[in-house]
Amino acid sequence: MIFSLFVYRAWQSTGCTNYIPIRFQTQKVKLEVEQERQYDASANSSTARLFHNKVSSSSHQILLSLFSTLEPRYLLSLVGPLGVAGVMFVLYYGISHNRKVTFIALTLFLVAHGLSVLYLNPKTAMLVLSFLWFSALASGSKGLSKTPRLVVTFALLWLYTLWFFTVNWQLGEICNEIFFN
Amino acid sequence: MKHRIILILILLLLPLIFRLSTSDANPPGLYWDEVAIGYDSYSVFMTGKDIHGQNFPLFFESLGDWKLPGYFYLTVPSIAAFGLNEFAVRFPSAFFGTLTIPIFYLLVLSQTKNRKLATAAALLLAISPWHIQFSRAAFESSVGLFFFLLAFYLFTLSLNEKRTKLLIFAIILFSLTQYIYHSYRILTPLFLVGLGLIYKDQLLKIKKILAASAAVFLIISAPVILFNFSPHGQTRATSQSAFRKEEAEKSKIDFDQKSKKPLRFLSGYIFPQPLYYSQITLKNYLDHFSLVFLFLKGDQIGRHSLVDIGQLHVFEAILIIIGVFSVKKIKAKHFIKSMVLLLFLAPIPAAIVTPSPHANRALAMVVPLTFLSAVGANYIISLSKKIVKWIFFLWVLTVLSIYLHLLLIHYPKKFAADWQDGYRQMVTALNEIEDSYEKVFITNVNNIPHLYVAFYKEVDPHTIQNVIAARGFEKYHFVGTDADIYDQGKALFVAPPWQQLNGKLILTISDNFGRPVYKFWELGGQN
Repeated sequence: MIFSLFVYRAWQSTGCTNYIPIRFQTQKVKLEVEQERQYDASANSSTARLFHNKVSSSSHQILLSLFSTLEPRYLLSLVGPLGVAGVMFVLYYGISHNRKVTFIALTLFLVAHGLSVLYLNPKTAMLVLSFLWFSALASGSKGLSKTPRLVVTFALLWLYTLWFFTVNWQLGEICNEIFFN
Repeated sequence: MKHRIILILILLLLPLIFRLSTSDANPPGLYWDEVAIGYDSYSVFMTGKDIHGQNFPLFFESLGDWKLPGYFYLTVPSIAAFGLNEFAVRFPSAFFGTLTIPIFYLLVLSQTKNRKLATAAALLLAISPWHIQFSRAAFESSVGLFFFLLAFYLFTLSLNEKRTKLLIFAIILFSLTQYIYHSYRILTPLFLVGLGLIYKDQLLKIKKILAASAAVFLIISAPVILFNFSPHGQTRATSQSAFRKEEAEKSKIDFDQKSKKPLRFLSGYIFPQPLYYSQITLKNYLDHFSLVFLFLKGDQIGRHSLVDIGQLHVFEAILIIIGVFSVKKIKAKHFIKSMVLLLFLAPIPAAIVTPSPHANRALAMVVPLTFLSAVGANYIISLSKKIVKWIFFLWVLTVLSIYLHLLLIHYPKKFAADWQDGYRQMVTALNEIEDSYEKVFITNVNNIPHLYVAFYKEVDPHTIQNVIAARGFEKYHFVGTDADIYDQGKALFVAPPWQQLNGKLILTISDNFGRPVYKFWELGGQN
């Protein structure tokens, strides 16, 4: 069921002709520094340089780039409500039962996530991230099927996600232009 | 003794400085909601009626948006004490925002019995950008948060110390939050239901007090429940609603014409409105857990955040992660559950309205997030390796310096327009030159200049109550850009900079960043 959602979403993304860039862009750093320094006209230049420089701006832009693919809307577009809720549940289950292993797994997951964002093009990154998240969800399938209530919730979320993917066919947070004719 | 001094510093002095210092000038200018609250409160103080002539109203018509009464009546004594000015209008928010810190300290201390944790929680809330932003200007949400937190504290106190009569007082305070800020009309009832489930074992032992509390809640809430279903309440709800029928229709047409061909036949079946709106609500709700919103860029409305940084400090991201992993060690299960409940309920009022995310409507989220940060901070403080603690401390200092630099230097200039900066300067200039003119025309931008003139000139409220003030009063006429103003004899015209007039330009008024905001023209009678 999880794999079918991944395949469905990947199929829907085939019409995307212009992926939204997610990688850190160096030209934004210079722009940000110049924009912010204009408000420090009354302060001395050392103060302006201390607070607004390429180091601070680059860190800000890199974090923005990494965090943008952890945005709820981006994740909903990528893996749907089941993916988001499911991974949160898997995380909670992991923290409750084995904090050390969960912490290590979470760290590795976030490193893989970050490397994909920084080094892959948006189209490949989208597929890799989608695969990562659905795999994380699948890894917790034991916990998700522990009780009948959880199984029913999983099934309902699966249906809702199928509907969600269908209605949000434009992949608004992933794709600038999508074309199916 | 030393510890007590540090505690007073953290609990009262530090929050007071962050919230009250230069609050009359930063944010620059009074936003129109603030001036509406200020002048309406002044009107009630002087005459017992609001600007629409209603005697001590329960709900204020204000600018046609039907505001709740709490903040208005709290501003009356402030205006009585300080006069009609920016400081007086913003004082209640700063005052109750400051008092929220010691209440939060007492709440965490009474529940966790951990003085270090409580101190960390109070300190983090004292320096929280999210809480400071809404305590420096006249925002009802910060006052509502104080009463909400105080009510929660008394609720837990009544159960823990078996002082059951306190429960009634807590319920009264919970009920009153619904008259202070709109979010609490949804959040408070939901939170109370959640608290009832969390503390049900203890509550079922005091059934009589519980029943009395429920009755008190319903009685006090009755007017606001009736208001919710009234035409005025519905007008307000519709104007803010995230659910637009046109949007759903457009999505359906788009799907029918442009989506993947094999699926297009589904357009007639998959767009029932409740289901469609559920995904809008879900997206809006989850927006409030966005890392970019929380730690990097904040609410993109200039009045709700510094925009250049998140609602919380970036170091709190690490603290919250540590807090999540170590919160299980705290032996206060009911309190932890309440914090988790509040974290998940707080964004609900903001999820059904636009825009999203909305830092003002979801302000209550700052409490559980700050608590988790404090748990993380407590863990770091307890580490034996001093080098780790020092590195983290230096990082915190760096982030705080950047925050203060942005708040004190950048913010008043960058967001002057968001705060309608320029009106005070306009009225000050008007006072100096208007005596030579029998008529003063002011371009009626957004139907609000009349309130600013009335506010800064301290016009007698009786004058405003008896007329359609937005059109004019005394010698002031508020007109549209197409009004006939050239056959009125010698007159003064105050216009925005984009409006060109056939007259003599006397003066240009600028805002905090030097941008022109008003031009004074002399019409007729020249040459």
